[in-house]
Amino acid sequence: MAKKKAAASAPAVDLKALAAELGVPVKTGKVTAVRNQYFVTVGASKKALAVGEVIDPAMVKKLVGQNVSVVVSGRNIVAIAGLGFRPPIITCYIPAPDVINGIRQDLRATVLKGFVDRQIITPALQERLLAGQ
Amino acid sequence: MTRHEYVVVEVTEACPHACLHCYNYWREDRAPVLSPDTLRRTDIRRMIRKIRWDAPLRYVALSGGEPLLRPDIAGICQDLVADGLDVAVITSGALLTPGRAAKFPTTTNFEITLFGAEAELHDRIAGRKGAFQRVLHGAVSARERGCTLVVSVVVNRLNAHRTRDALELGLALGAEGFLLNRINFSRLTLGDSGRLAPTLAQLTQALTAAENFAFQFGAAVSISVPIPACVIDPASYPHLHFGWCPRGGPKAYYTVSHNGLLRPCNHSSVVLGDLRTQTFAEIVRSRKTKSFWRPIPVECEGCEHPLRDECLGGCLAASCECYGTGKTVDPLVHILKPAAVHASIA
Repeated sequence: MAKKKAAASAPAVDLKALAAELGVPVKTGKVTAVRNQYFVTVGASKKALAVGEVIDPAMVKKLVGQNVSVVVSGRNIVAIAGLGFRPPIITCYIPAPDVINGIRQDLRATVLKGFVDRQIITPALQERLLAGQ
Repeated sequence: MTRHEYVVVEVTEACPHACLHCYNYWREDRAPVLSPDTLRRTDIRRMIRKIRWDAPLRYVALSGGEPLLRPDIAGICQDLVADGLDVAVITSGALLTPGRAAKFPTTTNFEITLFGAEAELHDRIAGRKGAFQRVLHGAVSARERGCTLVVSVVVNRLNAHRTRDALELGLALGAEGFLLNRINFSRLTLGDSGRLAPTLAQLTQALTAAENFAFQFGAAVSISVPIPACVIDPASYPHLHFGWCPRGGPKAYYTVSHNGLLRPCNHSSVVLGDLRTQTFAEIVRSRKTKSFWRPIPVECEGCEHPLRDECLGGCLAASCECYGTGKTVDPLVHILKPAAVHASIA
């Protein structure tokens, strides 16, 4: 098991393969931005992008004004060339490895000391924690 | 083969706590740790192997009730790890001592629950005096063993304002992952929503605290129980991972009851089949299972939110438990945004 895994990043998306799997064509759309909101216009349809949650905002910003290849399935844009999507991490209830991340030990030690000062964590427990790190 | 990689096994229905928000449909019964039909250690190993004939399983979460009530829980973990699986134990943490922790494989992931950073608040929500101190010791025992610790903070009206404190306590105890779970209603708790549900302002406050925490410490915080996008827009919290109902897809975590019955997830009381007599693939591909996942709430039909197809109305199981149908949106929407519900139906 990979115990420490960084948060998911945008994977490269093979648009042709994805489109073939979904049984839809690869289309072309134009990326636009209006007051920090991003859209892709495909034909007559303008679709908002959920930047921040599913898509990395820094990446989509670079594409503003450009024509890009997209895969549309149903009501959704499922993938954009050069952007990819961060797949939503579905972790309802269980602690999937995707959400486990390393924490800087100096930051942890500072917070720990704060709880010892507040007498929430005893010095004995603190000692055990520090020994275990 | 199906594509499922996760499964939850409820190894017992018994629990020493009485959490105010507990959604388990058996919560009003005082279940024994091992009833005559509870799967024994060998049954669990056999059943998981059986599921692996049909699915590329890689992750098993052992839950309950309180899984640490079972004296053989460490042995169950050892069996699963020996079979090449990743294992999580979802527990209050209160029963984990150094001696017991030493018996678990070091690759075990312990998910423990914190309701705050104060004993009084935690114990009040857990329904048991002294629980907080035991949880702290349990968390330390897990870390001393070298196991990964994930802290789950369940947010309700009583503790929403202490979210940051609870997350920081988890960090101090050595957690490497954080789940921020808003209370999820069942028919047993819905009547108490006035006392238990955070207000929209409180929920926003809790998420803002978690966002700042995630940013400041580089911590992975998952908003695990889905919050419908019409209640909270995830785009406002770029450092939080928002979870959605997998709706039977590859990331679904079908749940095996203590007696081998298979349910859609931990929150649902619906029995889809019996793993003692049926195969996993047979149950997952059955008409009953497909029809369980199919409904889309009527309130969501006109939804234009970009995350509409991920959200699909929040927790399907909560709707089924509270209203008897998945065609109604997550009860959280009715509680926090009743005007939005009326407008969408109109």
